[in-house]
Amino acid sequence: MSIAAANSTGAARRNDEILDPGSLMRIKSLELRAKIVVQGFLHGLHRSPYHGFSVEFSEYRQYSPGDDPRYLDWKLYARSDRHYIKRFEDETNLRCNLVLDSSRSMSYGSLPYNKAEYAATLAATLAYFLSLQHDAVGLVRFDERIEDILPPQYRPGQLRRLMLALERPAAGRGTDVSEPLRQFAEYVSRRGIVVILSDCLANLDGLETALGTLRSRGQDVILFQILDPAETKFEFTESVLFEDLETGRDMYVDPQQVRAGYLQKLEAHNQSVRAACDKLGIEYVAMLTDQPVDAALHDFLQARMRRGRRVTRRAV
Amino acid sequence: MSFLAPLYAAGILAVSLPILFHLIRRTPRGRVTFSSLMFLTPSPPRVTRRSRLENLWLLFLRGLAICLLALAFARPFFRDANLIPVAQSEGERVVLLVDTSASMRRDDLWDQAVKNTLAEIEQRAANDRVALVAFDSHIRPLITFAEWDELPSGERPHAVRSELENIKPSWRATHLDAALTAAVDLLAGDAVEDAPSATAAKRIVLISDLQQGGRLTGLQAHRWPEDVQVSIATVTPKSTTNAGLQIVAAAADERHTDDANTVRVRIDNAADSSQDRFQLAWVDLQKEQTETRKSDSARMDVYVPAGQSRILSVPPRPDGVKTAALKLFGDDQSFDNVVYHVATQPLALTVWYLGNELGDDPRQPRYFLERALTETPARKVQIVAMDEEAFASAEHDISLAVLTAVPHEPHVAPLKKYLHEGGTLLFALPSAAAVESVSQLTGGSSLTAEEAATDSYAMLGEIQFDHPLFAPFSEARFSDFTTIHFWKHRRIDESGLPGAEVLARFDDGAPAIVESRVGAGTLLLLTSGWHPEDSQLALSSKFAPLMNAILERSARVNHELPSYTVGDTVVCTLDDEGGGEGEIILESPGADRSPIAINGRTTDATDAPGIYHFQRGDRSQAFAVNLPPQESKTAALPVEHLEQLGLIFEQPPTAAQLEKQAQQQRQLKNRELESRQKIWHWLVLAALIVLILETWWAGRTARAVTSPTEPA
Repeated sequence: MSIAAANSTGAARRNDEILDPGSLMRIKSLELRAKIVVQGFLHGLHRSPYHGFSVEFSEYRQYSPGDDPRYLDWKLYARSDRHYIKRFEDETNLRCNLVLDSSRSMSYGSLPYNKAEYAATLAATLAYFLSLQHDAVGLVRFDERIEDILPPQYRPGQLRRLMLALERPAAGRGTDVSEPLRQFAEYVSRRGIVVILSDCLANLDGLETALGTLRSRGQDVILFQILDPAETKFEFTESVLFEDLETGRDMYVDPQQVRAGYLQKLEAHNQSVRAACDKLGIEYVAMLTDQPVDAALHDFLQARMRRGRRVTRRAV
Repeated sequence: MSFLAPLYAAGILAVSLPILFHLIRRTPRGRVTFSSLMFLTPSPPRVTRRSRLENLWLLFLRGLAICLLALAFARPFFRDANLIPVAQSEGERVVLLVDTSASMRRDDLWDQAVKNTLAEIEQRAANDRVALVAFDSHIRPLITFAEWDELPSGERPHAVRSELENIKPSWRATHLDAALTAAVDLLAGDAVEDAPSATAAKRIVLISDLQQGGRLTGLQAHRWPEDVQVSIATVTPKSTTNAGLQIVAAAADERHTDDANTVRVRIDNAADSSQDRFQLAWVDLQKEQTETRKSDSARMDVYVPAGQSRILSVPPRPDGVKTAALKLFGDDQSFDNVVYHVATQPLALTVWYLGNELGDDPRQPRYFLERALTETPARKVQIVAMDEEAFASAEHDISLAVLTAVPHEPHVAPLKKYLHEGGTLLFALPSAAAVESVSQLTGGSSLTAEEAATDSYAMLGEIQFDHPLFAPFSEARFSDFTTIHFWKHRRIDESGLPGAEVLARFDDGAPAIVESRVGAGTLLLLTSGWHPEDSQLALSSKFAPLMNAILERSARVNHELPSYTVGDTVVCTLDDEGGGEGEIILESPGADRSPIAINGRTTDATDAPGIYHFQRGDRSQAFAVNLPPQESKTAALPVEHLEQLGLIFEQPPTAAQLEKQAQQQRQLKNRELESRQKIWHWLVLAALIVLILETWWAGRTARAVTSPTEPA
């Protein structure tokens, strides 16, 4: 094993230790959490199988007639005698809206932390990562409707404000994904990326329409469905009164009786979310809260990359 | 078997709990919050399907223990009717005030009162102390606290009953104030005697018809003690119509007028009467129920609205009847419908006139004297000029001797005797020389007199208006004597009459009327005459009253009318010197004769209305004793009125309270029975034994269950 390989495994192990969501969530500061995830991610990136992936590469495009010659990279032309258009700035001036579900169902967690904390960490990580790339990041929190909006900007203090907004406790109510997304679609005007972080445990009527509206307004959408392992496995044993976090409704449930039905229904629900996303060309990522956060970052970049390829292909 | 606390027996229901616990599988123990119930379906709590009961004996033992404990808590006992509970608390002290006034004679009021009293006695607990007091205008303790204590508790109702049978309502007035005050004193006195029981509840039970005529004035000055409560057992008559009849006494100055013999009565109709038409008639005393005349005209119709009174003159009473009764008809209550009346007998007075003339000369004194002392319904005056033999025989009948001339020699001795034995002699000095005979009559030192020298006339100056003779003139409008001119008068030397009182003087200072005691008698010396030759006295308006006053004073005419109410102190007016020796006998309407004290007073002899007679020797004096007029006011007295006087009333117990009392009594009895029998001790003991058995059995079965698994 080469030294580099040994270094890589050591770093990865260290990274894994840190990026274990259990230990990561013990860190109190959200910003620090994000930093650790991103830095660990970037740190491993150079020695990872994703070596060679860079924003810069995708930003050069071969000149084609009709392009503005102002954007020709003359240095590259000097070196390679080929005309490349430097679309660097245009491409990187990305506007990303993090749309975070802060309804009460998000405050459920069978682990020491709940879905909301996990989602906030994920959002902070993405925000930090994007701000490192000088992208404008904004935040939208919603439950039944849009609660607060931090418009995407790239300027000093934006990241700090965003972190504070994420740390603010959510006094959310029930979840309705469709209506806030519809409102948001009306609000957002410029192209950009929309990252939706939600458990999607809500009525799905109109979800497809809302997502479709978003897409039609030129937004690239990534949907992270964040679920707790207890929700996906439903491994309760005792008959107890189940209380709905959102409505406060009580229900006496014998888990042994209802488990199969529950899993089936949940699966069907998730399937319908996924189907809607696929239909609209939306990246759908299902995440469990016991998964490392950087996996999400990885998925995000993958999605971006796919998107980039798709765009490139389309451009070609 | 009964239970003291039967509700505890409901604890037996707890037996079902072990069975229920046994049957119900598991109820949800906790709650779990979950993100969303949208994929969940409710499942019903399930009861175990095991219907087979294991450890049936254990279940039975536990159930038995619970039953025994529940029964023990319910405190069972067996009823025993023979047991009479002894009250733990201290008894009350109660004064039963029974009204025996005349108004209690209505309908069956007395029977009701007796019944109420006995009912009150029945309610008394064995440790209560009771005094029984009857009252009207007198207060008669029938059973005192001390006597009550001495009576065995079983005989107390009999003793009360026999006491009440011995008394009947009297004819006296209701002195409610005195009775209540006496009852309070009785309670206070008893509390002092018996110091430890001073805290006992004190109560006065008033058994009365509570009529408005009861006297209450004494309570105004009495501070009612706060610890004495009054309860009233009112007796009510069946019919409330009651009119009372009373004779209205004529005023003293009406005695000489023509209507002196008219009898006026007042008819009071009680406020709650339903009748307002009555009839009035004289009845014969011997046959009180029948009228003297059968004809309807003898009855007089009277209309008196309820709550009002009327005064009216009654028709003249039958002739020749000295004592008679008036009766009111048409009234429901008869006890106050008869009044007794004794007509005043005209007095026969004899005036011995010693003068020189007959009565037909208007210039002479006798002419005026006869006209001043005319006959009135109240008296008959005879003016006689008797010789000394006639005088000697009729000495006691002479009321007044009048001398207007120098007495003849034979008359001096009888006059002197008359004077010394208490007679009154009016001597109008005819001349200065006549003063000699004054000395002879008084037997004192010689008196000198001279004819006063007046140019015109003299008038009366200083008059002793506080003297009985002049007292009627003392008012300012009558006291003017200046219009009477005296043309002539004699100036006497008053020093010759030691001890004499000058009642009036002329304006020149000479005595005009001198009163001098001579022996037992009185000599009134007038230094002038009343006939026109001497003065204008006889023509003045003062003359007749003055002469009448002299005559009545001399004859000792009593102004009091002989009429009393029941219970009054009566005074015999048969004068001591008027003749008749020996003790005074009082004859009651029932012809009972009783001697009374030598001072002629008796306080309790008149206990029924009617005509009474004083008898002394051969002389007799009749007087009427009537019902106290207040007794006729039989409308019920509002209890608020008594409350205003400070009485503290016990709230009459409502039916609910009585029920509660009875319940408490029952409860007390039950508790006592239970505390004696103490069955719960045995039940608790049995429960303990059962529990021990259960523990042993449970241990045994547990061992039996575990032992086969132990090797594994």
